[in-house]
Amino acid sequence: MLVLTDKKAVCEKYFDSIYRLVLCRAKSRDATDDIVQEVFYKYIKCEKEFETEEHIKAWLIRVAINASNSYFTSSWFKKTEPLNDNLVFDTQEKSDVYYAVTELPQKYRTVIHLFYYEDLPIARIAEYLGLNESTVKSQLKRGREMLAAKLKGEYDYV
Amino acid sequence: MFRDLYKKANEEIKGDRAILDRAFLQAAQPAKKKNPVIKYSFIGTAVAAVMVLGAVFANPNVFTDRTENLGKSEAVEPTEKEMVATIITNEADFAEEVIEDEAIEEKAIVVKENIVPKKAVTKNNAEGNGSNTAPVGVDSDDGVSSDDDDGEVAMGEEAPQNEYSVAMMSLDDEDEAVFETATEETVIGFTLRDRETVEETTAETIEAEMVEAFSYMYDLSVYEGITEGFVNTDVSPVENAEEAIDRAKKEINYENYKTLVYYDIVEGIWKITFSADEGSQMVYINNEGITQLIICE
Repeated sequence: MLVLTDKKAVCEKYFDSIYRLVLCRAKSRDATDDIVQEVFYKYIKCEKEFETEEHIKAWLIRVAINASNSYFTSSWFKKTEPLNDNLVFDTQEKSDVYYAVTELPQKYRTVIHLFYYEDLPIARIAEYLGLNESTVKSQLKRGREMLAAKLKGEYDYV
Repeated sequence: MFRDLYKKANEEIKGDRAILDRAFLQAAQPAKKKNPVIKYSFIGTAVAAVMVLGAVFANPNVFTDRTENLGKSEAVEPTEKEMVATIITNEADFAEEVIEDEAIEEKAIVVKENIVPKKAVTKNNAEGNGSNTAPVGVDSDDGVSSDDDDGEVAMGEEAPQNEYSVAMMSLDDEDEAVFETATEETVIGFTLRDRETVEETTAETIEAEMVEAFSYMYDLSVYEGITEGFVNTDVSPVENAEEAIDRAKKEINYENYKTLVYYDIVEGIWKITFSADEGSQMVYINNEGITQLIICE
């Protein structure tokens, strides 16, 4: 079992990754802060023994998705209007790509983010999201099509 | 490529690391306890239920319908003692429960001895206006109240000397109503002196239950009294105010009096004050019932 100092190191290591995943889904820094804090609080309190770091990352992603889903279904979220956080990127291309993804419906952008940023295989994405692989594939395909429409086919979606 | 651009865009997004500190701080705090109100309200309800059940087992008649008891009392003819208790309650406005059996017996004797039979005179009749209320008379045979139609002893007639005590006490439905009216508007069988006797005796019972503190040493230093030649020289432990009064009564000669009881917890001395028209006496007895001091004023 990891001691607290080890847990802190793990948190530091995966903080950005989890933060970006949640921000991609929530599109609000305030909401993201709350959800990410909840995710790492659960991890710190968790007494589960993880076999590998990959296992820890998978667990954090799964908890982050669940926590964000809970947040989206909460009455607090439904009664509030999220502020549009203007993220500034150093190039226009980055900005276009990032905002094109965030404008996708949530289920598509989650799949796109996990596939293109986390480099997760379709089978793993299906496992994390609790979906069939075919469903993930179709969502990925549909997401690419929407991105292509937004970005006018200038990019290669390999 | 899309993948590279998207990754680079995300690399530029930095979260606030203070989130991790807050998460660790939150984890370090003790877990919140579950709502104690629910727990305690459940315990309180359980305790209340146990108390109610205990009360019911201790006194099975606690939920008995009073009308049932009424039916029973009507079915059984009341004894003389019960009827005296009734009149004491009505006249002196004391609750029946306060008067114990021994006290009732004493009062019955007092009432009997002091009652001077009188004519039943209603207020209205006394004024010569006639009456809407049936006048209460005295039945010479069975002691049941009766009206003029009975042809027996009625208003305006002299009641026999020896049949006065229960004459006004009949609890038959009809006669009871007459009696209640009579106690409000008429003077029957009681002189003013009788009433005072009843009230004083009852007051004695009530006052005896309220024991105040006093200092025996202070009284010794202030008053001069009799310290020998007492009646109470044998041991008879006194445990409450009533026993103290009974014991102290033997040392006085007053007939009509009021009593006040005090107790010195330090010295273990009871002080019983008898106040009468002739004067007042204070009798001091110890817990063994032996008289220690008598002060006359």
